[in-house]
Amino acid sequence: MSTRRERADSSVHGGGSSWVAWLSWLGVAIFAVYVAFMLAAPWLVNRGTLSLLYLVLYFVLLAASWNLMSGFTGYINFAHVAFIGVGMYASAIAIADLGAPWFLAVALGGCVAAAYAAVLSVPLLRIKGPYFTITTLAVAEGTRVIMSSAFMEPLTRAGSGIPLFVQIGFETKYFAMLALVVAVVVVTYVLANSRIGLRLLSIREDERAAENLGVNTTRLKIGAFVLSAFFAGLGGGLHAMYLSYIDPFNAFHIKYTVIPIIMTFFGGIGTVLGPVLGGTVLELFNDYIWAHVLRLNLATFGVVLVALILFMPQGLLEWLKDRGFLPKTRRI
Amino acid sequence: MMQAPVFEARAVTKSFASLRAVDDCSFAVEKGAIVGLIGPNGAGKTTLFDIASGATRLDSGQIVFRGEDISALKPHQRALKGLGRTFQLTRVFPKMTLMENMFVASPGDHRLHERAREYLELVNLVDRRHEYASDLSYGQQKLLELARILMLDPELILLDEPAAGVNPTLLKSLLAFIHELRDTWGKTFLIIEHNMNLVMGHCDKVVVMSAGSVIAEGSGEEIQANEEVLEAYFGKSTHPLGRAGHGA
Amino acid sequence: MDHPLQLLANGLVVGAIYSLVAVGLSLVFGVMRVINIAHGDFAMLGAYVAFFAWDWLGLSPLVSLLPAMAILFLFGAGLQRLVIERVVGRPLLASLMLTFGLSLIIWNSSQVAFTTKLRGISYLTEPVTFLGVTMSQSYIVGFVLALILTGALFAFLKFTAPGKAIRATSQNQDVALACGIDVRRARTLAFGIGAALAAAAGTLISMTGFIYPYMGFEYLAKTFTIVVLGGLGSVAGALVAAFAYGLLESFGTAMLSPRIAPALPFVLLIAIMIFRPSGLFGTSVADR
Repeated sequence: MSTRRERADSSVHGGGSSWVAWLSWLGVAIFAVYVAFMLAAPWLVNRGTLSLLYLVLYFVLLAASWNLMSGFTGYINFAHVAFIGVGMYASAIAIADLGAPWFLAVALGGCVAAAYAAVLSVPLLRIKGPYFTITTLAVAEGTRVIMSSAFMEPLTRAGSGIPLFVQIGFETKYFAMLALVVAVVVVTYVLANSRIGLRLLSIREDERAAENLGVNTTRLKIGAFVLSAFFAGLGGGLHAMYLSYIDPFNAFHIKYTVIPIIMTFFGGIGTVLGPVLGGTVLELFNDYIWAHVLRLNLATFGVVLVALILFMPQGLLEWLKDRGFLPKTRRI
Repeated sequence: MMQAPVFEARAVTKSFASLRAVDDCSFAVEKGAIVGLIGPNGAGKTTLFDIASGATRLDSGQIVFRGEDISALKPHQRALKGLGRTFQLTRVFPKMTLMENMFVASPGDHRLHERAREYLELVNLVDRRHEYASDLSYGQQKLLELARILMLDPELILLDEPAAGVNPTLLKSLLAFIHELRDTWGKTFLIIEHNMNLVMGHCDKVVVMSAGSVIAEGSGEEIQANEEVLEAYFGKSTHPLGRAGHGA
Repeated sequence: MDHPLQLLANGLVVGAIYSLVAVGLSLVFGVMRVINIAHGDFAMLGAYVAFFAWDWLGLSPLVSLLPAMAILFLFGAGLQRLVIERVVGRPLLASLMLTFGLSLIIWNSSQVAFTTKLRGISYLTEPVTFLGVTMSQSYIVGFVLALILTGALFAFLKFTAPGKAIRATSQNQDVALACGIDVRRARTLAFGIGAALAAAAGTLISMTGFIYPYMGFEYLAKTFTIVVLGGLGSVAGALVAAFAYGLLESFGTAMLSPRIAPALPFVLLIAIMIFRPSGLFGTSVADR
């Protein structure tokens, strides 16, 4: 069947010499090894290192979920932390006040974040370019202010925060986080290799041209935004249990928007494995600088970001693709 | 023979602040025709294209496509109804391969890869189908844009200055391609173009706009003899064909 | 609720200070199409220059105003020439992320250097009462100085050759280039002036309120609202919007429950973006 040959052919660069076709599966193989290592890690490393790996997975999840919307459509969303934080709160309230089991609380975190994104998306996604980014920044700050206001106190306990006690062990949280990472990467992979994914990318490339080619850009953007928020909310909902105490300042801290963005930029925005690569490398790096330059860790991220924008704005993976070290495929 | 119009602008009016960019503009494009839309800079031609394709909303009047008023439809809805357009400056998706560029434009999955290859073959770009569109020359990007439109299977194609910035060899194949699409596939074209040789030599009908309105309509010869057109372009002294000889 | 005249006076004073931050941000956007996320941090740095001049050297903020502005002018111009100039003309995202990176560096370093303690300068704190409006002298001095500086900026832009070069670059860079204007110099100058005005605002804030390293970000959020309200790139729009915003904040805080009033700027910004995506007095800006 010719379609089958074409499919393999169509996603590789340079017209299908067979080793290039095989190379396009490299990303899948690397990710499989990555997951296998993470699965085995509880038996391989000590508890301290495992905590670090948990944080690596958490940031990979945040970066990859941010990438689902902003990486594909080019709409740079600075409100990601709003969805993470709302997911945290939904999950914490479900556990602390309603006594929900942990997995239901996590699912609720995802759903509430997705619903919040759906409501916001209608006005937000009419706004374009720099205005979109500025407005999402305002959304994130506004969400923090509202959640910490006395107005919301009956639900959120305002500034005093919510302590929560979850009876599940650390390793359960670790494996749950790993499962979420696998889920978001698989979703990204499927999307990147689908027609819908191409249409999302076409919005990033040239939204007006896409519209004139019959792409319903509004519907796609809303879908990507909600999906991105869903995974952010799941991640926040699960992470709330790791923290066992949440308050508005930490739940909505701007760094949970900024750091995943920098990680995605580092690995390659709009790629499948860019957020995994960036999240892993930079979180390990962060741990290192945390141990050495301690309180300057955000400034260090700032330096990384400035250097990236000046010298490698397309990120590591696209840089390698441009130089022919990796095939121009959406599989990686 | 008289064909039913596939496209009609009916008393279209659009103002930006105090400027009337398009003013009570009416004309029709018959099925299977290649119609040239000409006029001095600022006559409102591109604004009219924007209105036709849905990028700009009109203040009053109607855009009728295949007998249906589409004035209220969104750009993507118009595209799916079979109205395709290109832009004055090409708008390919630079960091997507040629094939991916083609795929975006197809509404369905039916014979997706075959059709994409077939159309790229028509514009001689099939060998480069796995390269990023940003690797193509400007003229080749124009060809890609045209091939990409075909994935929509449009009835009418609006071309905004297809010849601008294209070298003579590529322009020849572009024109041949347009004729082939019309003659064997029955496509209809409405073309904004400043190259008068191209307009006079290839268009069945020419519509002349000036200051937002249609001031003349007819065959190439009729337009060349029309006093009002001369005036709109150059005052009284010269004729647009004074520019002839530089183009195709 | 306070007396309306009191609210009016409060609103005008904060509006004047906001205008110093906002006109600079808008000026910079107009000249180089860069949204400078680090702009609020310039105000923060200016505030700390004034604070340490007062704390260590015993200089009054009115004296340290000029050195603070000069230092931040050089800092801003240097930053522009060395780093930001390199993303001019690149997609907006590049400059947005770049200045975000700079903001992280400035903000986090300041946290470490200055600690997160709230500080302020007690200077001219005696209240003055006039027409039933009570206000400390520092507010009045701050208001007058802010007006003088904004006025000086407008005069500079209108009457001097470098000011005209900045305006020409803002309106149409290609034409400015064709007229022999050194647009690169105009950009550096505009960026330095923006930073200096922000520093002036910071100095005034240091004597009318509290300063802390995170304040840059909070002022940035308000300034965004103002600049969007006034139309990105329009200096006059930013000025009008700053006063409108100051008044709105003053009256809004008094009339709304204080439990929800802090959300006002964000709600306002989102509302503007929904109904007028290119700003209230907006000159619209191309998508990319």
